[in-house]
Amino acid sequence: MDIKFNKVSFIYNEKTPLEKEVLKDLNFEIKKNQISAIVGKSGSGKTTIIEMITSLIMPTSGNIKIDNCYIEKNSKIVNINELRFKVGLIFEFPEEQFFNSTVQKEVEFGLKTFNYKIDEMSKRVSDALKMVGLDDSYLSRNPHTLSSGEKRKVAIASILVFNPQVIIFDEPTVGLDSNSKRNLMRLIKMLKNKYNKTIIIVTQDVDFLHKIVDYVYILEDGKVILEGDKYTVFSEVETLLKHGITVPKLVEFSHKVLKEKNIKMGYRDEINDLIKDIYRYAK
Amino acid sequence: MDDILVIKDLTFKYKDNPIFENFNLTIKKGTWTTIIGPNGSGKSTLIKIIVGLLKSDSYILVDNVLKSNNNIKQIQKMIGVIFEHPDSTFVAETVMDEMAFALENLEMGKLEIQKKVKEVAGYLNIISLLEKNPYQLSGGQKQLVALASILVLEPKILILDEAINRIDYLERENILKILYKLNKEKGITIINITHDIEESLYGDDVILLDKGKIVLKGNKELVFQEEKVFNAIGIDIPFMAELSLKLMYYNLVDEMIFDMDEMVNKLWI
Amino acid sequence: MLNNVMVGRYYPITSKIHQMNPLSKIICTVIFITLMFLTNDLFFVLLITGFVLLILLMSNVPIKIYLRTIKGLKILIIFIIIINLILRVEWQIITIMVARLVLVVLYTSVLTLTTPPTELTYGLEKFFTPLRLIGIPVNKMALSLSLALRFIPTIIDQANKIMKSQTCRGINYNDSKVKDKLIGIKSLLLPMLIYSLRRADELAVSMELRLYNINKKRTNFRMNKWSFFDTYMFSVHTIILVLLIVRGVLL
Repeated sequence: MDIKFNKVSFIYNEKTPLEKEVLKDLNFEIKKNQISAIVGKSGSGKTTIIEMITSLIMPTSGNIKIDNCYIEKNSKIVNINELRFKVGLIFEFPEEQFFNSTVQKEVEFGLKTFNYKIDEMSKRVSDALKMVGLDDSYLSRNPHTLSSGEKRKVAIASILVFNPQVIIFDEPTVGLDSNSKRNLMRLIKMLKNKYNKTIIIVTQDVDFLHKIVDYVYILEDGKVILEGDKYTVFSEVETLLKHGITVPKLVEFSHKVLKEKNIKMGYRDEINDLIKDIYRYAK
Repeated sequence: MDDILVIKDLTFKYKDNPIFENFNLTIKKGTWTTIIGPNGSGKSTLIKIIVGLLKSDSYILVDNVLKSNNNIKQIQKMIGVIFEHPDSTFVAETVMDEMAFALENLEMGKLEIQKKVKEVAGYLNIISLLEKNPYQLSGGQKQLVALASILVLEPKILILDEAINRIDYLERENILKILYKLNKEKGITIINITHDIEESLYGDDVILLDKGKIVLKGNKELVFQEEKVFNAIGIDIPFMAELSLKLMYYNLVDEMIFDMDEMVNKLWI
Repeated sequence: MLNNVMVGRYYPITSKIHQMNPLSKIICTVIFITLMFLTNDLFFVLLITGFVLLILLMSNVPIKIYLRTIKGLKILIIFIIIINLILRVEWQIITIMVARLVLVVLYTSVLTLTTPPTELTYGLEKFFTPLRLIGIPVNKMALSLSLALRFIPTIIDQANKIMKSQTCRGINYNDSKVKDKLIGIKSLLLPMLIYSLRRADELAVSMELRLYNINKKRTNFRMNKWSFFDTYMFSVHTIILVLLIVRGVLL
């Protein structure tokens, strides 16, 4: 399923004194079955983009094509419920949305709204929980009594239960310690490789991204200023730093070597590969 | 160097769950300590106990003043805390009023308050923000305002509780530079509690906390050598620390180097 | 989704009225309302209408916003006219009645549209200061009120976020079925309750750590200056009131 933005603009608080143009004639396309990342400072328009993909807000001009559906200013989305099963959005701090007394009720809630059959439902709930690494013993527990890592997992499961084709994560690493981040990385990789999902991650955590992303969009002031696979994008160290975007430490180091010693080492994902390069070139 | 904070034999239970048992901690004046640990290790609880938000009768000495039930306000004046969500800490509609809040509570005169606010705003370079609404500022600016509204009290210790993880890179660097200035120029002791291990490179000492116990404590050059201990708890060490350790193994460098430029020059002379 | 812009109906633009000290605006409003209820002179009401229009223009708030505030009075006005026609009241008196209603609403709209909520609270606190003499804790109440007001944007932003999040899980907030509406409310109210309590707790902590003591006396730093324009407006209102009273006494 392709997602394509065609000259999309969005004005926030239109026709009021606090009016602000967040997106200006934005054009881009999210590729299928890939892990894409949207990176940008606060206020760059990242949240606006993902809210538009899930049709929580409508563009002020332009349109978004998702599969055969067009989302534009005055159009009525005929099958908005179908969209919920196609695109899942996991907000920042998703655990703030909990309002049920058991994990089971919380995770199955979405399906219940759409009148899913009960036996199918419990299987889907268990499967979703299993995907995030929680077993059935969690079903009867109160979500508010869980640890922060477990809460985050339950929140993710409550969207996975829809089995959407596209899953969007908004700042998923916020508040997580190293272990939880590793678990999240594993989950996202599994969703892409085993379940062929299209993943979109909105984040500023480039060291996290670097290990799993396929394609990166750098966003500033509502426009894509740089895009490409991670090697292409993160090699532009000077440009990124000038725009206030960090680069992965490995890349930053290689770049310094290039700039200060004029030695071009490879673009490395893993620190051990970097060591090998250094060993080779420093001798 | 004096000790600015001494905690002896702290034992604390939260709803029958033991959080700290015979916990001891000493922080020297003028240092910058980073406390790192997995979620649930007790970091936030520790702060709350130190500043008197959670009741504890254990021995806590702050700048040679023994904490008791009668001098909590005196202790609180010496310790400033910046929290993760600056939005919840604002009480006023302008930055100036926000900064004045703490001084109003001391019954300071209006002119004196104005002078102090301008002085601190100048030091932090936020004079242009004084008339703005704190809620409408960027994340980094909000934390600067939160910092400013505490600095007016001239605290001896500044504690940051996950305060800068979520701020954009450029603004975060700005705040860290300001904190560095406060630490070196004004001798303010800094305790930074964070998830982001890279922040520890700005400080001197590192404390690794797990399940209410100090697992490692010391100078960052020494602490990060214990990579295995960090990995056992599931915490990563900073990139430059890992790089240094690996290069030391191959005899390419002979010590921990945290600065990238320094490392590059060491490797390619 | 909820709109954060128009909360408290404050219209963020600059004008001479916006810059006035909130206390003087409140005093002028009180004088104005007193004026309106003292007069029975059609000619005077006409003059006052001109005066009010002048103030509306000075406030730089678009006229259509003011029109919106009296739109809701339509039915009431028609009702007043009809009742009074039936009672055979003279048309001059009816006009005065209607004008009184409309002008008072317009004037108080100027107050709320040009004064941010916390400024208003400050003005009210100063206005009701004399009540302290009879033991009413005016400044504590004012602080509670301004803290509550200052939380409104925070709460609205979070409510929007929660609504969007729940919408993604299939809740339709525009649904008309009672059962679904109840679930919709629960899905919003419960998380908001938890969120608000948590934020309130954090605020309390931040205030306490900055040495706030509810029982102790504290300085009020507010640098709201009383400018020449404030004195001018106050004088104008007072003069009109005095003239009205004098004229009423003499006639």
